[in-house]
Amino acid sequence: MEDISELYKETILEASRNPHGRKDSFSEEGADGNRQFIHAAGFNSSCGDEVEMEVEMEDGVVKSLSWRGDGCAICTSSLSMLTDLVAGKSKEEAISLFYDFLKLMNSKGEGEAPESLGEAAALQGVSKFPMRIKCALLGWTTLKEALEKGGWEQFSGTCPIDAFRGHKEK
Amino acid sequence: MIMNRTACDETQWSAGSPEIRSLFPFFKNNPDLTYLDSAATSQKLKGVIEKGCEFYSFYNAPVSRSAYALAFRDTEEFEKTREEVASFIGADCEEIAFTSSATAAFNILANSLGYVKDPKSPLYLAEGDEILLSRSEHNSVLLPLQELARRRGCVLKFLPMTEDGQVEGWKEAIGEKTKIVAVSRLSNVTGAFADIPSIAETAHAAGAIVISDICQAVAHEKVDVKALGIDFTGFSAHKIYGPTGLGFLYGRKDLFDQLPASYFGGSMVDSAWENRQAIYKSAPWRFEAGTQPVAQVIAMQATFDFLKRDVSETALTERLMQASSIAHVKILGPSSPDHRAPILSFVVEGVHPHDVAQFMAVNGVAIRAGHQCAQILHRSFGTPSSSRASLAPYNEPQEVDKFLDLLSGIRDYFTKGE
Repeated sequence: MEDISELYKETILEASRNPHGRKDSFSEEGADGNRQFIHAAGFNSSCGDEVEMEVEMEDGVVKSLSWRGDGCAICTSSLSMLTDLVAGKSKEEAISLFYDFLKLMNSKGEGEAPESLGEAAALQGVSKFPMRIKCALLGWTTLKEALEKGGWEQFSGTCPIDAFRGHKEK
Repeated sequence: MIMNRTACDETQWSAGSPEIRSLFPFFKNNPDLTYLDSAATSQKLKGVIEKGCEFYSFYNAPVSRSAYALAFRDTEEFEKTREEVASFIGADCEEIAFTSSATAAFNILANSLGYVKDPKSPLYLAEGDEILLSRSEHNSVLLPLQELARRRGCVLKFLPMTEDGQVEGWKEAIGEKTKIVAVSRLSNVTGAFADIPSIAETAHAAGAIVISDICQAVAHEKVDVKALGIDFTGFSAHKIYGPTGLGFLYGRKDLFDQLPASYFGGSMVDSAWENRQAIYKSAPWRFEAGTQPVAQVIAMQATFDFLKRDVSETALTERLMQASSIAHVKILGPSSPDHRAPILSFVVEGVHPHDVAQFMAVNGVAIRAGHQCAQILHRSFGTPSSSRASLAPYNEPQEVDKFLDLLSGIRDYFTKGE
């Protein structure tokens, strides 16, 4: 039998209880000079969870990021860690983090987690639970959606994440 | 439990007894697992597994198509299952078609209803006619009917429900425009039985037909489609200890005869020409195009001895419903053990249903989490998803106790740091 603490590490539970980046109201979507607010929504078809995200971009940098919605402990903690990681990053850095996290979810719990992920490395245990990978990915796929909407095309082309995404509500 | 199964010559069995458990090899092979997910799929009777193996090993041959002895024997066996299935739900042989699943049964039904062209047929749908459903319909009933409504320009309406998820208000809702009323007999989420006889009475008086999903009901009560007043229904073999890949479509004889085929191919046709419309077989055979799941149909025979046994689930249901007294556990459905089946959906306040199921899983208890193919119902309850524990007669009382023990500790585990 698996050990429950492999999945729900204390850092994960802690982040899920007091997540960073959760906000009830968003700014209006649109551009104002160099500053741009982008909204995107992600959907987990297996549990019906939905997350909405607001990304504030300025001069090619993710200035701030917030989200709303209710998810499980894995989903919520992942969103919280993502918020901390991506805020203040350039588009190249954000995209690179996205792929690092994807690598982590494909790791089957083996090998070293990419150093760039910091605290989010605690989610490596999720990769041993295939049914829960999409919970951890929901925030990241929503971020991808938002960044693509903002014209960051580096994501285009085949992306192995699609296997976990399931249906996305438009 | 509302009703007991028809008593056979043998004495009543109590759910959870060792005699029942020993009929299912799964439990010997998974001694550490507490399986509480039978509403999703049941475990298989030893006899079913052996019968399928025997078929492939000794008498695999095509059904209804050839002259040699084996093919003839298989055709007889195949039709024998049809008789057993019919008798199991109080129907006649000609009212049962084999399908690949309950989902397939409801899709065939809805597609075929869409093909009815005669405005005088009781199955005809005109623009503006209404299809009335309960909020607890499974997606396999809801979506085929929703698509049917879209194709025929019909209006989809939903019945109100009580706070604990019981269907109500059909007397007011059924009107002269109502052509189809679809209410499942037993919800896969709430575990509540719907009053189908009364719903059917109102529906029939208004000239509407009644579709009542019995997928869950057949696992927990003796179903008699005639007594319930059901015109069309579907159910699957895998939820009643039988094989996967097999479902059944029931149609009331006079209506089934008027239902056109919507899925075409070999075996369902009497005569095909170059330039004329083909002549199709009568119901139920015109609904069975192509090679059927023969091994599954024949293996299904091994379920009926068990299905006809008089098994009481009352004690097990009462035990399960003790969950309603655990703090912060909210039940989606009636919280009393009366008039309900041991299918328990719930939310632990402050903990996501996926985390609940995961906590159970790592402690060796298999339950379901998600919207359980009933999103409309979950929205009505104001939650996107829930967790569900569902029992079958092979579950032991101590398994229920283990579930209840774990359930009592979940909230603390996830929220204690607050």
